[in-house]
Amino acid sequence: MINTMNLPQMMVRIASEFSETPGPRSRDEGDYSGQQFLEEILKPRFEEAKNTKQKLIVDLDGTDGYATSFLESAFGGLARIYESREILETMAFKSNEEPYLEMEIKQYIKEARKT
Amino acid sequence: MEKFRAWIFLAIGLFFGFLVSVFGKNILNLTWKSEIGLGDLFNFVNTIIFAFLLQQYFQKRFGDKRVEKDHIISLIKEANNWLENSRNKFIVCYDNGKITKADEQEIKALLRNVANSFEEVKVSLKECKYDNELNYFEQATDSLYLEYKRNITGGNFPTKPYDGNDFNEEETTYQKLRSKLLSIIFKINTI
Repeated sequence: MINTMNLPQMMVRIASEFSETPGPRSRDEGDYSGQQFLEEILKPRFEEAKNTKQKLIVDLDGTDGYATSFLESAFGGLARIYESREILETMAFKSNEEPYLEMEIKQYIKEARKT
Repeated sequence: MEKFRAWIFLAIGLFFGFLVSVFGKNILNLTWKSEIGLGDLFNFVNTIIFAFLLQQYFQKRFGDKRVEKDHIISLIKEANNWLENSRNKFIVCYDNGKITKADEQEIKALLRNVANSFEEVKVSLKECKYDNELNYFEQATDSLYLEYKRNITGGNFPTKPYDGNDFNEEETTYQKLRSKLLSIIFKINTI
């Protein structure tokens, strides 16, 4: 198991880099969807962090809130591409406004089924 | 109730003082005199002071516990209120057959309040060192809260309106979560 505690860090700030009003599950359902976030921001940043051995911190604060559909599509979607273990080792979550989100996202990552 | 408890503690303190005097007489072979001397008076006053201090100590200790419990119970009630508000909003959207942008934002904000009020309960239980109750609260509510959130913001939320299946699932999870919150109130009251 890789020790990620002392790894250099990179950040993804959802509110400023993506949207303050994260939307639905998929692109065809509306703007700022979980699928859009996954494809445009989360996946490329995750790959960069993994390749450069950095810790990817996802800052969840500053938005109106997240629906399960968005979180499951984005983070569960990532876990359908990469191993859950690898994601949890590479990523960390910051949410001062809603601490429950970290537990929620980790659950979607662990429960994601590969299709 | 407070006065009654104070008298009980005073009685316990006096009884304890009496036991100490019997212990002194029988075990330490102290003499028992029928006449009252200055030392006896001193002992009597000591016993009264000791009983009074014990009463004050236990009174404060039990009083503090009650304040802690009341505080935690008020937080649980607040969490229950947020949960009820979320449910009311869900039912309005179900009845309207649509979820507007404003509804979406309100539902997400209400669920955030539910989650944060649960967090406040956890923090208070931890601060008050109610470890068993904290463990029970986490086991009882964490997964149910996520299930509840999934019921009303999962699937195709907010694109498609809620259907009968969503209604049934929400109803079931809401009742389970509410019943757990009430059971935690009873549990805290009986500590």
